[in-house]
Amino acid sequence: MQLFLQALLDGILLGGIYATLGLGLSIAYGIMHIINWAAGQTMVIGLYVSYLLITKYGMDPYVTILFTFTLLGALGFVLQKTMINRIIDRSGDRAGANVLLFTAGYGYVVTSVLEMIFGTLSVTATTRYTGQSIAIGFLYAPLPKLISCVIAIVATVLIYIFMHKSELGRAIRATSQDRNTAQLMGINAKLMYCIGFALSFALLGLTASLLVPYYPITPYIGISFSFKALIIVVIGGEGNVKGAFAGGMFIALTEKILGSLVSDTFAQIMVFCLFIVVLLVRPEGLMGKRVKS
Amino acid sequence: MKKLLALMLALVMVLSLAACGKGDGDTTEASGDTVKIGVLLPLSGSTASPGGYQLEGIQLAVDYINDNGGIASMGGAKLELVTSDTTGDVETGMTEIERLITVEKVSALIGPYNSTVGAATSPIAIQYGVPYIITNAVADNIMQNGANKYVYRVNYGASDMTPFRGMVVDYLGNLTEAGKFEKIAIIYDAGDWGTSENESFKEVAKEIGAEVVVSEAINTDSSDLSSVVNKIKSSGADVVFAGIFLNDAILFTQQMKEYNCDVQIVGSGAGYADSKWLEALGNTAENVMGTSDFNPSFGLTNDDAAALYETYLEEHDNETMPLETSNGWCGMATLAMAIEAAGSADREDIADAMYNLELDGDSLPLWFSMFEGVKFNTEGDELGRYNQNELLGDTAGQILKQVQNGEWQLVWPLENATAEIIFGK
Repeated sequence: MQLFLQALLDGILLGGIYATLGLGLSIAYGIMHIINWAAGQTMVIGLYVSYLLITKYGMDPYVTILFTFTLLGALGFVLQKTMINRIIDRSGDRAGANVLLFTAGYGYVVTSVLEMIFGTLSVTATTRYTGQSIAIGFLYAPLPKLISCVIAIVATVLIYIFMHKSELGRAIRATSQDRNTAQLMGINAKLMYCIGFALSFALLGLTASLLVPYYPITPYIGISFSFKALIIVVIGGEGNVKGAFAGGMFIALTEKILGSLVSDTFAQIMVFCLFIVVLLVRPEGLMGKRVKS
Repeated sequence: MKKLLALMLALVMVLSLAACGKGDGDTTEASGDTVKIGVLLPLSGSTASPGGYQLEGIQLAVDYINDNGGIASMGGAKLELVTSDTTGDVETGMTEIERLITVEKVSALIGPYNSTVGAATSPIAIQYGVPYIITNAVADNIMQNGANKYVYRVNYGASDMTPFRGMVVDYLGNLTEAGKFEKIAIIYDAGDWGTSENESFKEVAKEIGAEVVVSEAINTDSSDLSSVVNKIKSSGADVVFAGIFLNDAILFTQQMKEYNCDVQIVGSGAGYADSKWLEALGNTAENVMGTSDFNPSFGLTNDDAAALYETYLEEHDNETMPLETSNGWCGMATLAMAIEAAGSADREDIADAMYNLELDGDSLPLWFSMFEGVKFNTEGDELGRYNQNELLGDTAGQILKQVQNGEWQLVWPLENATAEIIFGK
């Protein structure tokens, strides 16, 4: 019983992070129908930025959020404005494929540059939260995971409010539903794309700061995160906040519970199986809307 | 005039063909004063840390030998290393070994640290007839290619450590209330090495009649080991043996502490033997144990070795010598002694010299290790391994260390102990 409950708690703690990771990918896909193949690698940039701030300036890992959020957000904005918008303009129907390829290439570049700067060995940030945990009855919640989860959930809620209640958020969603009509209504679609992509990157930066207190970093871990994000988005439903949250939680709980009851390998296999099943049976994901073709 | 020209051209062609023919037929390149040794190691990727340490050991031996007269039987020829990065990946390793053999035309090979790469590359060395000294890469299957004179391993194989492990398990078991271990947990890396570790510990458990309650394979560089920690915590295990690499060793130790699981960790070389592990964990590492190779910092009996070790410490900020470095030194120095005995850079000559090599415990290769000697089991042992060093001694040069007050102390064998063990009731 203790085994199961601890696994449940671990799953919830992880779910928050998976939610923001999934959101990072989901917003880009939902708004612009762009799959950022290098979501994971982008997050790794955030990991290194956060790591540097912590080790060189003794910054609190959660304060680094301000930096990773804005820096990556800026990076996303610039990428969209200077490169991706151009690709979309020139590609017509093939925009999706071309942008995907672009992000794949960009991911490669990111990994290589990070490898050049930081080397290949793993680094882990030691913070004042490292190694500590809160006891909840006979269960344990490692402190960094707990704080990260709380911040992740708060961030998810804030993004939801932004997307659904603010003018800008509604403009972004309008652009995603129908770009041409939105433009007719006076919305600068290209700008919305830039803001959307910036937000997507910013969320990946946030996720990075949340992971840094307990995650060993190398330039190569991006790929597994990219996959994870993709699975979360597919299972949860792309383009919407509830979907990312549901997907993130669902995957995290599955991983942790099956991991403890059987093994981590089995859990991973099950997650992939779920991925395939969802694609076949309910491709819009748990919370997605069925797209009429 | 035309006939003379034709004759001269024909002569030139014949002469150049003759020169070519000689080159292709040869097995080696001893370009005058150097003997080329191909080095296969992971210099990037998840095992870059131990890979780098191993290269240092190999380089240390080469520098020492070159500075002290080189290969005397070849008129002072120098050893030259041709390194290649396997990245710890099998495919890359196989490409690189072929390149070292056919393009660089090395006289011998040394490496590759990773068991998976070792298993894939040893048949290639045999196929081409190139002597290959296996460093680290302890999986037994690497030496199970049938009788041959090309692939050798001076350090221990996985099963050579089983008796030592039995001794450790007995010793630690005695310190518990029950007088022996009842339940054992094992966490291991999913590759060849980790799998050997698991098999070895399972065998030890069987011998003492303990139940293996957790035996979990993990992927190298796992992101989260909380499930395994959770399992170990609920399993009632008395001890957990961990055959995992650096990043996972750090993560696992941290998470054991976070989930308040006080089951004693006994690491098995690799991640737990890396100084970076201790650096990363600080206080969290306290009282964790690890088996490892003998470390020269715990005392050397040979004066020359001690002097060299002093220099080594100065150049390395007083960081004790990692086990991969001492095994790298060991393998390379053994190869050098074979080249010395062979008196040539020819692959066959070196292979023959290795085949017949016999060294005692004071010899150069064993300066930083606790093995008893070097002699290769060319007839094959009960496990079907050929050319494994059979003079490792009962403890296979292994020791048990424990972190006390932030530093490693040797706690077993008792006669070499630098501190008393903290364990048991």
